[in-house]
Amino acid sequence: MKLPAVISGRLPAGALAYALFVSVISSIILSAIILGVYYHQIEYLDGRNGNRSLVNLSSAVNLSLAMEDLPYHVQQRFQLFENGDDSVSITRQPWGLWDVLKVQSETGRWQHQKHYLRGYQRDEKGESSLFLVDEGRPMSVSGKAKISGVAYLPKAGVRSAYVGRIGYMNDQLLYGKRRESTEEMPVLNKKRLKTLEDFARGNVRSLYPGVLQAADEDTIAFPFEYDQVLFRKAWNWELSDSLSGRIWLHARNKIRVKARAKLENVILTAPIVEIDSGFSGSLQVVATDTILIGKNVRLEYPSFLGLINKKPPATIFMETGVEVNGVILMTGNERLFRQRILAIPDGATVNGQIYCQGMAEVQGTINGHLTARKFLINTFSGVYENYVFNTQLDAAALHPEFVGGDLWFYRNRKEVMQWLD
Amino acid sequence: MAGLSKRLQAGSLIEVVTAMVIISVVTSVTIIIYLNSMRSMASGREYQLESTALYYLQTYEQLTEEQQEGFVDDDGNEVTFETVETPWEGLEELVVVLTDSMDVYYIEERRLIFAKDEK
Repeated sequence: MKLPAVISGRLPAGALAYALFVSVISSIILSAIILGVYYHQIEYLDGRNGNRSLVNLSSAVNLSLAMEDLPYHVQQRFQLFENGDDSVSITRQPWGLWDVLKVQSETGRWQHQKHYLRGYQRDEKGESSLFLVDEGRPMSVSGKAKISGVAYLPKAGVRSAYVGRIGYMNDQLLYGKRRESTEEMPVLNKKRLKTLEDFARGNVRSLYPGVLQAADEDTIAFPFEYDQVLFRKAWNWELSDSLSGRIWLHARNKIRVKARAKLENVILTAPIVEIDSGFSGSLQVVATDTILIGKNVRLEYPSFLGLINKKPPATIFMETGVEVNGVILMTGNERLFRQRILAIPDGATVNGQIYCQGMAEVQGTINGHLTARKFLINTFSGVYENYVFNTQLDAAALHPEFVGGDLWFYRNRKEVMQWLD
Repeated sequence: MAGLSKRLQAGSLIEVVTAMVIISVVTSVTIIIYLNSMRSMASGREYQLESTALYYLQTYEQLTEEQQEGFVDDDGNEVTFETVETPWEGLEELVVVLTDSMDVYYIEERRLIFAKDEK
């Protein structure tokens, strides 16, 4: 059979190569476009997942503030919405008076996490200026004392009186509403108290089971994101370095914080804790016997001074010029309260809440709330019980967004106190 | 016909075929590029709208009460909010619905907020 000339004819030598060249170029262009589309889609989805993960993280923070407490150190996972790809997790860890909450969100390859210190809003009584236990005697005010805001006082009321030759200098006995207090101190939250007792004892294995980090002599910063606690113990500690993060120092005898030390969010536990004059930083102290705070010390919010006393006597003593921003707790055997003294001299200021199961020798300024068993004034002219002398108590002067602990007078409304990342 | 056949050189057919292939390829590439650009524009637009919706979701608390009822933004997108109950006490699911100015896209994003009487 004879083929048509056009087919049987000879082809130019370069035609095939030319066709192949065009095909290869076309293939490369097509592949590039397909890859372009593919990567564009991946980028788009990735960016969307990143944004969504951040929004889910904010949902997780709200969830961790709204829900009932989870057991410590248990990572609990939650599905936020019905679509099934918005997964978040929450873990609660103890950190002194407060809890550290770790929230994580995961969408696609994106994982975001935050750590924060969680506290509690104050309840109605917590927002008052004073709660004084009713022992059947009136409270006396003297000198330049001024109590502003709601005050829970004994039924016998309040009267002006002299301390030595100094009488009461203000016009009104009380600059705010008066309400009746009770014969007992408010009961402290047992769970939190137990946690604080474990801290005071240096009982790290009870508080951080399985996450104990071996001490590293050179570590000065230990971020909360590590999830472990850096725990170190000794007979005495003398601190002059910078320490920040989840660091817990425990001494069997005494911790001394020197003025040049820089501490942030650390916990110090020992029978005796001394803070040298001029120190500034944020810390939590849990002591069992004595806390001494030198002149012009400034403890930043949120700081905590806790004295959990089993064997009186016990003292929290501040010098003039001290400023404490946070919570002060003095507790112990109820019957032996006279052997515990909280001394806040003239010139010292506390912005926050105080619980004093002892004798409150307060002549300084308290912007916030004081719950006290009894006042004490010790002067050259004598010792006066249930006298408020020169004390400035003002509930309204406390920052409205102040968040305290869950020991007493708190509402079950949690708040972010401080971001830790 | 014989003359015509003779004039059709073997190389001519190949050139025609090659030309057809090139035209086909160029046409295909053009169509693909066009579709791709449309798709990119579409997904880019969608991404932009999603980002906008997420922004409104995160700044909900800063909006005025009137805006929280719904509003039309500067780009002509219609933004509405609604809250849905959740299994968690005190929390609501805030859903932002964004309909773009061309009425082509309907974006929904959500996050958990505190119920108004809780905070």
